[in-house]
Amino acid sequence: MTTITIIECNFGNIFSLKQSFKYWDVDVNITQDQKNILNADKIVLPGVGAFGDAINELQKNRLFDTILEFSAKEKPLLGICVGMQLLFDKSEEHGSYNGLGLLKGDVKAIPKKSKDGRQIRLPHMGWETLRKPQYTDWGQTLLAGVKQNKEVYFAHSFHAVPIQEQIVLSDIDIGGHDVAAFVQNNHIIGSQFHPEKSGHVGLQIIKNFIDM
Amino acid sequence: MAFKRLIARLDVKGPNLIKSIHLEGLKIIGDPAKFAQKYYRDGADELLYMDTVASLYGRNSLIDIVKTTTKNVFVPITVGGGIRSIDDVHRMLCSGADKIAINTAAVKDPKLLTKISRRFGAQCTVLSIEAKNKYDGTWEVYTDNGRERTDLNVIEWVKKGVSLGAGEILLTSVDQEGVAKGVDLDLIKAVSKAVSVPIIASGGVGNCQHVYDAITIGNASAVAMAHILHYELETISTVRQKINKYGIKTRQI
Repeated sequence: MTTITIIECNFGNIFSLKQSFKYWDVDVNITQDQKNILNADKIVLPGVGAFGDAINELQKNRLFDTILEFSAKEKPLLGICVGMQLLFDKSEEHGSYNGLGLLKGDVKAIPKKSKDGRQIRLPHMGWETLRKPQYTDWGQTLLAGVKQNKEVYFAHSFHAVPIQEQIVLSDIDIGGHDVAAFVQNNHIIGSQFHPEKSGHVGLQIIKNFIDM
Repeated sequence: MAFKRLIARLDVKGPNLIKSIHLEGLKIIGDPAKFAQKYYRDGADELLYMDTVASLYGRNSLIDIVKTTTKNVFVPITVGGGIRSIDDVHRMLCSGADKIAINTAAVKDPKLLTKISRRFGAQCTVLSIEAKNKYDGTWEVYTDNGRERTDLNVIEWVKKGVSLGAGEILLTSVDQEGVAKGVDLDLIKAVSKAVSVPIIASGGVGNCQHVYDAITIGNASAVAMAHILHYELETISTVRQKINKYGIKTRQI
């Protein structure tokens, strides 16, 4: 049976994440141990809080290079929320920080104004409709079986801007701005929303990751 | 922009789900985790757990309830009541809470908001405000579940709270709470105007019109409901259908 390895971070709600995997009856291993991570089948990189703190924490625990080494084996790696943002090159949140660089692009603040000049309430919190850009096909991806235009739960103030448009499987509309919601480049996957908090739609995505 | 949220509010005393009037005079309703599960199935966008006596006794009995709830509830959970330190927050997050609502401890030590926000993010830091109308165009902040006065002006406090790092406001009208006769629209309007973070309106919802008003007139981002759900005047799903019919967009279950 598959074991899901969740990288332990000291500022996140890992418990609900674990519960969402437990829902599908898989073993979950929460760890900061380098060896455990290197030998994992599948890794989930969670994260809330600030990008810089999260990167510092990974470096302090010597997990930055470990994650890169794991990823080089081309095994599935799923980053959630700030965990997704960490997969990119760099972030401008409270300074400038380098990310893992597994996906090309930067992390930027959500604009304060909508395209028609209205104020956007931030942090961006709540349910949004997952859109499927025309060029994508969800068939063989982690979004397989997810119905289009279903809602999922977001809680963030920053968002990743991928350079390669084709890795964006889904985006959302925040005040007229297109924001990447879900990205996948082969075994590297990022979810800006919280699948573990997105009802049955989220649980389907969790199941897809287990079955990957 | 994010859909308007329908939140089920569960006030808890010890092991029981309770319902109060003006945050006082508690009546036992049942097992909180069972009600949480029911509201999740009905399509609640979020759950809100409040420990009503935690500040008074200096403890929070919610940890076990939250842990049980997250086994079969997969929407965000906010927890409040008696949380007074970074360690308390961490413990709550490790038990399955996504956001932490702080009232009494933030009034005593406003910098606590900054500490929580820096460590866990603004999206996790909910400033809970219990507001009492002074009927002179202002509202006063109360703490300890509506028991203690503070002399703080709600609008000034909410602005300060957001500048210190709060990412959301849980706004409870003590006057309207538990009587199901409508929300304090002027209060919601004033707070929505004062800050740019999301506002959860709480206290007074007795029918769908009240929800509609809080969102359209008050400009609330979310509405928390207790009485209307516990006493089965409506379900989350009937509220959703009715406000959708009048043009408010929500998640579609």
